[in-house]
This record gives sequence, C-alpha cells and structure tokens, in this order.
Amino acid sequence: MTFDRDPALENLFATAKKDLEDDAFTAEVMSRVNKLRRRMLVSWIVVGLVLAVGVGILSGPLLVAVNLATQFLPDSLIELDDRWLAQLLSPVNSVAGLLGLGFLALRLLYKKIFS
Amino acid sequence: MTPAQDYVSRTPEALVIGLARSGDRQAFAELVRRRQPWIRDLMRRCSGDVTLADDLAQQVFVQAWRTLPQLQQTSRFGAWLKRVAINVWLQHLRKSDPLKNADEYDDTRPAQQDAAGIAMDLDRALATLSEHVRLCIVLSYHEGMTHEQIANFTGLPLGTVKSHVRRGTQRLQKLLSAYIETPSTEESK
Repeated sequence: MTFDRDPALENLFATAKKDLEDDAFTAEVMSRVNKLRRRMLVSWIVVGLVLAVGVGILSGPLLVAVNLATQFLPDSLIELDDRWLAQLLSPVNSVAGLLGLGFLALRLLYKKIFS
Repeated sequence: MTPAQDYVSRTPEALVIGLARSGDRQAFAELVRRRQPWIRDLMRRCSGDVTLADDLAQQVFVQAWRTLPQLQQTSRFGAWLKRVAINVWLQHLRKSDPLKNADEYDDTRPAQQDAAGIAMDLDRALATLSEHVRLCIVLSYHEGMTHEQIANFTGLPLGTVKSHVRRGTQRLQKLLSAYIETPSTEESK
C-alpha cells in the first residue's frame, strides 16, 4: 500500500524551513577539523616513534631468529640417495615446502569455513 | 575575505568537492559554508533543540572531513552528506536516553502566523513522536524522501518506515490541526 504525504503538513514543513546564517558555524567546524588533524598527526608521530624504537630494540634478536629459521628451511624431510630426484623434489621435500603446504591448506580451510 | 577564499566561493561545487577530497581545508570550509543551512535545519527538525542541532551538525561535517576521501562520485556529495547526517543522528539516539522523549504538546494553542512560530510549534509536535517515527517523518516531509530511500538510508525495514510515516502523519495532523484546518497557513507562506 502506498501512503501519500499530507499536502497541508508538507506546506507546514516548507514554511518552517529556515535559511540559517553562517554566524560562527563554519569557523567552529574548521576549528574542530584542525584539532582532529593535529591529533592525527601526533598519533602518527607516536606510532612512528614506537615502531622505530621497537625495531631498534628487536632488530638484533630478530635477525638471529630469522637466521636460525632460514638455516632449517632448505633441510630435506626425507633423505634421498638420488641427487637428481632430491633436487627435483626439493620444493616439497623440505621444511620450507612443508610450511608452504601447511599455509596453503590452512588458507583453503579458512575459505571453506568462512566464505 | 582573502583572495583565495573569494576564488573558492566562486568555484563550481564539483571542483570544490574535488579539492576538499584531496585535503584542501579552504575548499572544505567553503563546502561547510554552502551546506550548513541545510544540515543544521535538518538536525533542528530531528532534535528540536537548537544547541544540540548545531553540535550534531558540526559532528556531521567533522565526520565528512574524515571520510571525504572515500567519496567516489562528487555528484553524489549531497546524498552522501545526508547519509553521514542520518548516521550521526542515529549514533546520537543510541547514546541518548530513550525515555527522555516525553514532551507534551498543547493542541489547543492558536496557530502562529510567522515562520518562526510555525517552526517552533512543528518542533514541539515532532518532539512528541518517538525518535524513529520522528526521523522517518522528517526525512519524508522535510527532505522529501520516498519510503524506499528512507529505508535504505536508515536501515529500517520498508514496512516499518511506512507504518512510522503513517502513524507520525496521523499524530501531527491531530496535534497541528489548528494549522491544517486554518487557511491562514497557506496565506502565511
């Protein structure tokens, strides 16, 4: 069912419409906008400083951890005597391959559950 | 007025919106200047309180400043700003006391002749409506939006919007009968 607007009420709303003077409205909005900009700038500076300090503190231990992790990545899961076969299967027959396959399986599972 | 402000005030709106979207504060101030009567008036009809309406209207523009880069088409700026305004009003409703709305309206008062008196009586009558009914009525009568548009903007089901508008109209017709039945309303326009 459609419901048309009451023309008398429409007239009343139109009469009550007011073309408001700006006064100090725009200036107040811009003052709020400037405050917001300053706050955002300060937030970005704080985040940047925290990140810089964090990287400075953790860069040494992080580098050691990454080095240790990368040492084990090419290690074979199953030792193969045939050199060519070992090279051919190295993308899957390694710790890195296992991690990669694990990641792909998890992603597939996530998509199946949540899409 | 500085020469830059003077230039922006004469610039077509699409260009001003484009400039404001890229972070030009002078252009944004010009947009506020151009759109503030509409947004403040809309907020006054929704809230019935001049001070609160101006505060909410300021929030609308601050929110608009933050999200303006997300606006894809400059031609849709008006509708987009209206959506921001409705969202600000709905957020305000969520935070405010739902039982606060218990104003009485004296429907035996004689009809006012001037626009300010009419606006005051209209706001008083609107204040007696529940918040969602009032919003639907304001969007329908003040903004001239269709039921479908109101449902789309407010997230309310279409059937609810229709019944809110119908119920609100009936209530306003009763409360503002002095205006509706008096031919002087037409004359005062």
